[in-house]
Amino acid sequence: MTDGLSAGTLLAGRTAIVTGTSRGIGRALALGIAAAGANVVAVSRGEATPEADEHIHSVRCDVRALEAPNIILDAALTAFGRIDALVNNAGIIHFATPLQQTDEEWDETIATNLTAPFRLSQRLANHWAAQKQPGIVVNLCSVESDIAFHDQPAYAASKGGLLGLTRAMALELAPLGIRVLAIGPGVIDTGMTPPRPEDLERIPMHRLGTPEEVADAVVLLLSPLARYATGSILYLDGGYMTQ
Amino acid sequence: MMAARFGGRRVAVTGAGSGIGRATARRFCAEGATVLGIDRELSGLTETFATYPTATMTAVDVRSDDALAALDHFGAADVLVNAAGILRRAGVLEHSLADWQDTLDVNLKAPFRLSRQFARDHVARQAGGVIVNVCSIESFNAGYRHVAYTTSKTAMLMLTRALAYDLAPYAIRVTGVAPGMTETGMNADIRADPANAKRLTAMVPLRRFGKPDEIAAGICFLASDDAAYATGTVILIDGGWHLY
Repeated sequence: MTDGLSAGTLLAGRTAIVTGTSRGIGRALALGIAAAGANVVAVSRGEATPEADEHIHSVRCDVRALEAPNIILDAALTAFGRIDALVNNAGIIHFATPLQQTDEEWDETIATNLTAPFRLSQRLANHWAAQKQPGIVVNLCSVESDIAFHDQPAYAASKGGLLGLTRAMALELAPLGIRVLAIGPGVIDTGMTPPRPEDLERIPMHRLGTPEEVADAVVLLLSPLARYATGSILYLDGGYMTQ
Repeated sequence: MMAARFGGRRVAVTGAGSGIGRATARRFCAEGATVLGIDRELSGLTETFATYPTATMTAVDVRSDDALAALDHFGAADVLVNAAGILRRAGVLEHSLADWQDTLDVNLKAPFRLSRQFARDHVARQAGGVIVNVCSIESFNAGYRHVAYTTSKTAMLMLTRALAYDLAPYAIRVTGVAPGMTETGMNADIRADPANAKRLTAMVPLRRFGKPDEIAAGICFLASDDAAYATGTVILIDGGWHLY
């Protein structure tokens, strides 16, 4: 969080589940949400989030597994006794032209980016409904929930679908006090590939976003500051979508 | 003049045994196209093409490899219309995984697989072509108790745009229509009760349900040379539903 803003108490006393936390945006989300005062249940397939401390509890789990929703819910309740929020971040991308994208790539993309968030959100919503408590889901969509990039048709479909899932769940769950929101990052610098000049030229701010900036926006949506927002998507793209 | 709009064109339509697919298949026939109709049941297809005996009918599940084989066997299609779709209603808290998976497989994966095959064939033949996907107003707005359907149709909107972007260099246009509440079997149950029908149409600025023919007209426009400069385009045909 930018110096001068006191974010350290925005999420005090809350517990948030974050998926896909081993690197990149997910790792920044876990750290950023914890820095805002929340307890974090960090879910990843591989390495545990290294900074695990008393506010970050790591769970090793493939979000696509049939039992994943129950495993994650139980782990969160065991670690912190309550759950207030879910951040569906885990996602994959397979680059291929529409001529070459395989059924296996399609299935894996839809299962990870769309079906897993649906199942996890549904499980949490049932938990919150049974507890008669409010809850918040934030889905990591993309500018690709609205516009196309080349050679990733399954990913585009999954991110478009995730925006629809956000709206559909928000519509039905609003009366229960459960908010469902989406973040639409543009090109984020995850340190994996250096930005190309032509990419920067397309972004009105002429720079990539950082994982920490995505985390700040998610903290905002999770916080009481965004309490009247549901079903909406916040694009975080340096102005990319204005064009 | 209108009757010849698709003269010499070969058009494949999924879901041609009922509703929007049926109206679309018939309109292409009436305008001179050679049509392949795909649907699960032969009975629906037979009724669709009762007055168009030259049409080809194939009763297969759109999810199956047989559907791809049917398109391949038909050969040299100029137009593919992905109209087959299913709707499973359930509250989000109890929506079953099986219904979710079936919906995504029929409404999203099948159109992807058929479109991929259509595009491969076109690139091999260096022929242009047009894909028209039947999206929905739910590609833009959520439907109550429709979590899987809304998700599938929103995903289909982005599939349409992504395919349009990638296939434009091959002169393959990828477009869609987004129907509002249209008089088809999919929603016959909720339209049957007059009070419910009145409540629903009160939400439509034009104060009535759409007719399958009115959606077919949009599909045929997008498939025609009149729309030669349109790709990635999804036309809302919804009686003004999206206005409020």
